[in-house]
Amino acid sequence: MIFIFSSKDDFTTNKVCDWLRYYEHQYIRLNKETQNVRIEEFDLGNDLIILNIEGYKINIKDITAVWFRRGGLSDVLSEWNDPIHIPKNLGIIQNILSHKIKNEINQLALFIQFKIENGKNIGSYFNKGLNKLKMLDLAKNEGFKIPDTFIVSKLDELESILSKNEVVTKAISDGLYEFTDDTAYYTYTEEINNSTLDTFSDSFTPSLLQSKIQKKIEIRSFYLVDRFYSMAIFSQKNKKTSTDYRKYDSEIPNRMIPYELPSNIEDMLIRIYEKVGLNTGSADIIVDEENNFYFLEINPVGQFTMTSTPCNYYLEKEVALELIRIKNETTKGKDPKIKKE
Amino acid sequence: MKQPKVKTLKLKKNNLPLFLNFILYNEIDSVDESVYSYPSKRVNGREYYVNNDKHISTIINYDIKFDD
Repeated sequence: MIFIFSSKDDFTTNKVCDWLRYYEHQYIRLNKETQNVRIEEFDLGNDLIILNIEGYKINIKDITAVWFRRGGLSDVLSEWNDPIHIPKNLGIIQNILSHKIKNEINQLALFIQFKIENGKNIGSYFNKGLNKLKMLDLAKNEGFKIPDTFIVSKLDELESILSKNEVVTKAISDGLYEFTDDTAYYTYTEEINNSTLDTFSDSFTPSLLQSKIQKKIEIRSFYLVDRFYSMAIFSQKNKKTSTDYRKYDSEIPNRMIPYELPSNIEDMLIRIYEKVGLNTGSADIIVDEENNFYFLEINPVGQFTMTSTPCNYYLEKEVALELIRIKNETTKGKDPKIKKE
Repeated sequence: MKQPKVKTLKLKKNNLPLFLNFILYNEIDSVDESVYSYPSKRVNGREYYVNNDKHISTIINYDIKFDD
């Protein structure tokens, strides 16, 4: 059976599920918001682990293809903490016990996640948060150019860098992307210049700065197992999008077209994906006026619909077909039906 | 197409990471009610848009079924 880790409002997962239905393949989708998940049986000696997901008993041996998109077992099994009553007269150790229990459940969840993925997966829980600095370092070692990259925490250091470079700042981890009922809050890559210095204190939380590359085009390249689906974005000449093309200009949209990466760039990316154990991801690359390719980052769980739709790649269909291929290879056509107990 | 009304949060002097001095925000522009059709049922979906062209989130209510 095909097993999908996701969240309930992920539009891309909906589209992949639509294709799985079209090809008449059953799947289980475990959203991170799902609350009714229990471990029915766990007998490692006999290699027997059975999960109960909202009434469906899933023997994880029957899971023959996995797509990790969002969430993971750690998210859903952590709900186990709620019914556990820690005696209140334990003083300071009460909090310690609470952490200890969370860790117990988390270790269990991580092991089951590992057993479920087990080499038949697209994407992985264990690679969902790649370290941006580590990826830049890897890319540099594989031969990519990368923007000059600094971490600063003092205003005078920032001013010194600004006197020699045009720079942008972005999150070291993920940018802000939060929605309330009526408002969306988010951050993008932003240019820093002398006019923006006023709000910064003399010292601040360590922050990532990168030299601003004068780009000819931006490339977003989705990688799936052994193929690249790349898109060139002509964002440089529009003031709104020249620093970050995600600041869409809907009146004068950026031109976005299918693009084929040079083979040496694809080879470098494949080596990076292999080094971090990923078989899918979206790489952000900038090409400068001299046709140098600058590696920016790889997002292992990025929204690939933004590449799929403008380029007519039908990537959601490709992900569904890859899941079906993995499933057929694992089961050799003998896949048990999913039944509710 | 209508351009989104994106604003930047005005922050006082602070020691936040630099990127958090550039928090953008805008009101969710529209919510579309949709019907998603599956082989077994049709269900209600709500699609949230930050502006006219950027879809941000879909919430599907699988509990609502429609009689054909």
